[in-house]
Amino acid sequence: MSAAVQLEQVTKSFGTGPTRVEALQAVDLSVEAGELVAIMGPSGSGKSTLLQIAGTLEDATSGSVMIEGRDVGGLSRNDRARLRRRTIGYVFQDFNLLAGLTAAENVSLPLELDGARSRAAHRVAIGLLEELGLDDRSDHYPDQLSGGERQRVAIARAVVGERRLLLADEPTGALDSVTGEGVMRLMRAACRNGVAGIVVTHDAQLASWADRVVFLRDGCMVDESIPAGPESLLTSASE
Amino acid sequence: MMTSADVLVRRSPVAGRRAVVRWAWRLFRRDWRQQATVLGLMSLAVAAAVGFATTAYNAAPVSGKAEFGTANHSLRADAPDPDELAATVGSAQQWFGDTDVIGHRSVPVPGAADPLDYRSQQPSGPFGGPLLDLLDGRFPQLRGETAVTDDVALLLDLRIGGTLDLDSTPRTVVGIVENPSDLNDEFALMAPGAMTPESVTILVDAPDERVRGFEPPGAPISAIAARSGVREDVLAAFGVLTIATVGIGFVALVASASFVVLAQRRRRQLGLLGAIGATERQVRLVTVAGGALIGSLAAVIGVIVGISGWLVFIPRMEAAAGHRIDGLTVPWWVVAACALLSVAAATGASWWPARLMARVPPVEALTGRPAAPAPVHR
Repeated sequence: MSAAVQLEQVTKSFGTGPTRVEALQAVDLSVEAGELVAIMGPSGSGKSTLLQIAGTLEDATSGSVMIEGRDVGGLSRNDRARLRRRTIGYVFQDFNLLAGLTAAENVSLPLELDGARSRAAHRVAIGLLEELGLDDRSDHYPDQLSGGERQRVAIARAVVGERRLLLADEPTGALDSVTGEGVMRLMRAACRNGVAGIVVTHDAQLASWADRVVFLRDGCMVDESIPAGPESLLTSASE
Repeated sequence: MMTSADVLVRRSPVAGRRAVVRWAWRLFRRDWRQQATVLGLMSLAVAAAVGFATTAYNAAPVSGKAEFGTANHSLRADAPDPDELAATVGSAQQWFGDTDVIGHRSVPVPGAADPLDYRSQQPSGPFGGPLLDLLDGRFPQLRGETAVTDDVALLLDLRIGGTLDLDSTPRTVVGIVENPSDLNDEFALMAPGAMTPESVTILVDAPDERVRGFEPPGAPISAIAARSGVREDVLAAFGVLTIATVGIGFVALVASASFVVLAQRRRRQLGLLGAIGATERQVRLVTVAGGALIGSLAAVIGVIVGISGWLVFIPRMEAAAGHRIDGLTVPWWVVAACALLSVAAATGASWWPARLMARVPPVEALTGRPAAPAPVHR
């Protein structure tokens, strides 16, 4: 079976001449369905760029990106949009919900963009929000929701439509630790349902929710480890 | 519970567009203050176009209406002998069928430079309706009765019940009349056959060849006038519409700049829409739908303001135009054209900013990173 997402020798550079910056250098990464991978590293190490390339939001300068066995390099802009709509869910640090749409409408939007009828898509969105404990907030606009609620709505939007790849760029960065743990728990649950997940984080404790942690420095993958799980961190802290 | 896979079994090609338009509408409601200036300008342009075009349409003389009524030819016969005139009129009725005969006699008015036109006309004639209207009292029916226009009444100090006696034949004034197609037309109206005319005007609705072939046995036809095929009112409205098109075009240019600013302000939101999987066309539709919305609102507001302004302006218009104006005589085709123009201009003005924003890669839109400079070609 092919990996949900596979990056081979991916390089990304910005600028030209003396101002050229190598954001990623020959990075290889493969994430299987049901696996949650955390990417850690200092600021400017290329974590977000890696995530954007994996999410087809950004083109790699060289190397190949395969999503579910399909090379995205040759896809048109509209084909990439369709791929994002159907396969990839993106969670941002600052939530990025669409203003003017309610929580349920934000969640149902990707389905509607894909041709689902409004009422049916709305029912699916409500069901998903109920699962995330937001059933009483579905008619609220983003500015009426707390940070944690917004991020849960963002996660619902990212997984709606049977998407198989969940990408999260510091999803807990704007949340307190308890809410952040809740968000990671949701991501973990999504992965248990067969979704492949990549999460960028600075927080080692949150990274411990992942099956694998990849370390980046100056655009290069420098280390990879398998965490013992969040429970082990709690145990070691109490000792 | 219904799953995502279930709802995507039957895809609708318009569902995405509907969702995007719904969002555009919400954004418009949210940011309406930022769009108020553009909406105001567009509404003003449409209101001015509708108002001026309607004014021009009504101010322009209705081609030949004051001369021909609803007929298309007017024949004039002059003869001192009433029998000759009667023979001509009778022959015309046989030749053309329906005719409307208006008799004229000039009667000097003491102290006035211009004589008064004594006119005999059938108020319910087949073609002369637009030439005669009753303002007060009733139309004359007997030999000793007359109805005069308001200026004649003023000049000769007449009122209903008074007596007009300029030709040694006293006639009782029974009504006040006017020619609604020419308010400067002053006359004294008699019942048909109640006076001896010096000349007659025969209104007929017949083809040119038929009119040219008419050779009466009595008084000869001294003048034939044919109604022009050109409609000055339509021409005037069309002229104003042409100028309005240029005006609305200029407003659309201003609107375009405003749409650019608005699209820039929404750059992040539009980028997000692209990031969650909207195609370029769907991202473009957000801004275009906003433009179409402003154009439609401007059309509605502009038409309401333009027509209202026109209705307020009518009383002043009638005196200036010299003929009665029906408030409902609005050139609706011009109004519809102005409304369509408004929608088209605003949609067109939003097209370019929409295209620009739809082409910004989602990451650049989300991060606010400037686009890479285009390579220089020498």
